[in-house]
Amino acid sequence: MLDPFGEEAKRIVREFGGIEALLERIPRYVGIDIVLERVKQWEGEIPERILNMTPHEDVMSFYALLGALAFSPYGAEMELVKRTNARIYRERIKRSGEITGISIPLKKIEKGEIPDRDRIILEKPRHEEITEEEREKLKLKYKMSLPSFLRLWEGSLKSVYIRKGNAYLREEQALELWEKAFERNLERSVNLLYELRDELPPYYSELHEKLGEIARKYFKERIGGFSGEAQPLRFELFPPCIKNALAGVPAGLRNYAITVLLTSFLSYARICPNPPRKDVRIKDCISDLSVIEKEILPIIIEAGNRCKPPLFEDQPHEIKNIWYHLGFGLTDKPRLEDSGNSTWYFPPNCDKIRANAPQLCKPDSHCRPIKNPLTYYLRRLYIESRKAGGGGDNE
Amino acid sequence: MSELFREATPEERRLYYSKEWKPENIPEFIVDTLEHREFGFDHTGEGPSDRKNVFTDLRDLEDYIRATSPYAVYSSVALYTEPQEMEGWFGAELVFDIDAKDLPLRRCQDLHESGRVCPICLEDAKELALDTLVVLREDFGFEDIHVVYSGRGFHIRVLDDWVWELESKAREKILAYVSSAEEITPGDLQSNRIMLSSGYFRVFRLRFGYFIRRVTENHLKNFGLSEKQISDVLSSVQRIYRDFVAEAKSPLVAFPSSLRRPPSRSVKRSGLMILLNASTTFSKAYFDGKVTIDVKRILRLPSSLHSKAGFIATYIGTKEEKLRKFNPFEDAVPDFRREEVKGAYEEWLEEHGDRL
Ligand code: SF4
Ligand SMILES: [Zn+2]
Repeated sequence: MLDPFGEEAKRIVREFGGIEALLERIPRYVGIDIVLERVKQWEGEIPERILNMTPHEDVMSFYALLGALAFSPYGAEMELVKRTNARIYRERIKRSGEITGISIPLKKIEKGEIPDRDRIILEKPRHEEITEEEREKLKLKYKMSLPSFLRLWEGSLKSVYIRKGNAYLREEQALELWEKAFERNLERSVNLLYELRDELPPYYSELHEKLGEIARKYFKERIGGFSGEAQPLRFELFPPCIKNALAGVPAGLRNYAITVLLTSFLSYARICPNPPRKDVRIKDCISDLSVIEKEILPIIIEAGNRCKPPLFEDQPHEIKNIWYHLGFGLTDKPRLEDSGNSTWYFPPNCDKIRANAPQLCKPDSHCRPIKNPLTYYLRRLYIESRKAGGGGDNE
Repeated sequence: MSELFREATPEERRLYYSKEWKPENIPEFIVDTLEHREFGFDHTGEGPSDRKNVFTDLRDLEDYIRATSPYAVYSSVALYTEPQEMEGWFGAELVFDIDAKDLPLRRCQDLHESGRVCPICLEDAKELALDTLVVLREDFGFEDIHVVYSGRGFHIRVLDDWVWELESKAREKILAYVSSAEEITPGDLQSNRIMLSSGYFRVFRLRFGYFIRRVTENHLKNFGLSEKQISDVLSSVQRIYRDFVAEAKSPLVAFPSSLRRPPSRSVKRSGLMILLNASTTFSKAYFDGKVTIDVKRILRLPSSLHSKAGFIATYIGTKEEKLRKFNPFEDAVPDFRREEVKGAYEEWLEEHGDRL
């Protein structure tokens, strides 16, 4: 199979009754060790065993990884899965020399489509000093219509041959595009599964933990810090809805924007961006309350003061409600031991925000793949860390 | 003496909107999407401060325009589900704006100060618009392109299905391509890519063709070419144009040989690289890039009066032929200025017509 998001893979997922049903079944068929083999080939030869998997085995072991990523989208684990698995499919595509059935609309070039003179310039058939192998690399093999091409291509339009609504591509350029599409599809699936993570079998959290170990080992050697771990807040990477709430809101919106949205978002973003399970408590993540009292609460109170009229002047008891949403029960003198007295409220999904406070949601381009403001933030942290690490993505 | 361009008085605006203007003159592509567009009005000449208007019915727009005889009317190039809030954006036309008032490489330096326009400026803007149409049609395969005379330049509005959802970043790339804003490298010459019959390098040659026929000794001096190189270039403009631009011959053949060397010892780049990339510094400025990239912009409504210039923003059509034949001094003149413009244009032709 050439592409886990291509036609054949989609058919197999459908056979199982959709992605949720597939994830239910996987633990019975594929051992965690086999799945982990897919992420151990950072460089060097990819074992034939992996390259020759049957389509079913391939789909199951790959989707197992996606299930695990639902526990920490945009973390080092995702980067690990992306890179190692892109290598696997790239190699398969290269070997097969075929491109049909993959997730991007590439077409083979017809004879005579490119004028001879242009072909000679671009492919250099007359340059005898060029080796056969290099000549092969220069060959324009595929084309893609510009609408699809522009959606994926990150470089300039000077570096491709454009003619009559198509971009003409060398094999390497085509693979680059495929990889871009692969990354996006992977990201989309993980965001989808993020919603379901609480219902996934324990197999996946176990797998996730193992992925984390491998990823940390890889990235310590290569890139340094990664998103997905607790770190100081970066306001410039907050989603529009959170920025709007921070700016203060009118009376009718105050309790929702400040007590519900800001409190949940800021606390998870700062303390526990990737909760290991649903019923996580603040005391599982920090050992004293100073982060909350010194970093999080002041931001919430300031935002409350920016509201018209100021929230905490009108409703001083609302502070208790904030502690309540942080999981400390209704109190204004919380102690760390109290966390767990109520539920630590998780940031609402985008559709909830849009339903409750449509004024806050002013989506920008980063909002497209995500479904929760917290994943928005994680995504941007992830992109930043890739930039810093010299990764390929410059969104 | 009558003037070609002059500001319309409030009385003339009223006259135009009550007697001459008809809503039927608004192009179909705007009427068909009327309720999704945001309208902006400038009532005083100080800018469109009356924004976020929506008209679900053409008659409402007609009433509003007739009642206020605005200084200028604009509509969004974007479509919204809630145009009154500029929210629920679901797409925007792809627009290129060539403003004759801001063009570099003016041939009419001696005729008027910058910031104004004359028939030569407009002719040049038209040439740029024609080249642009060729690129959009042949390279991008666009088929739904509409050209509008803006009152002082041209708007090219692309409505093909797939442009609507393009993000700013993609629009920026298309603009960089269409305006040949990226520099040529020595590798592009050595590999002969510069001679390709399609793609970026063809666009580059088109824009270079515009440049080389307008560049002056002063420009070339400023770019640092040597005396000899300058005089060689200026004396072989026709040859360069024919060989390099029209026939895509090798630069080695098309350009004077003195350009192969740097202009002086202290310079690394060859004269040829300097000359080629000089074109790029100008071509970037042929378009108002903000108009292309900003997907929430408003654009002058075709059929409305450009009160500052005293001309009608006129829908020209979809074909190159229409644009080629279009003459603003006949086809975009409001009735109240008909005689005046006719006289002024004849006078202008008599004096400078040979330079058109
Ligand atoms: S889409 Fe989601 S993250 Fe983006 S602004 Fe709306 S609610 Fe916030
Ligand atoms: Zn002029």
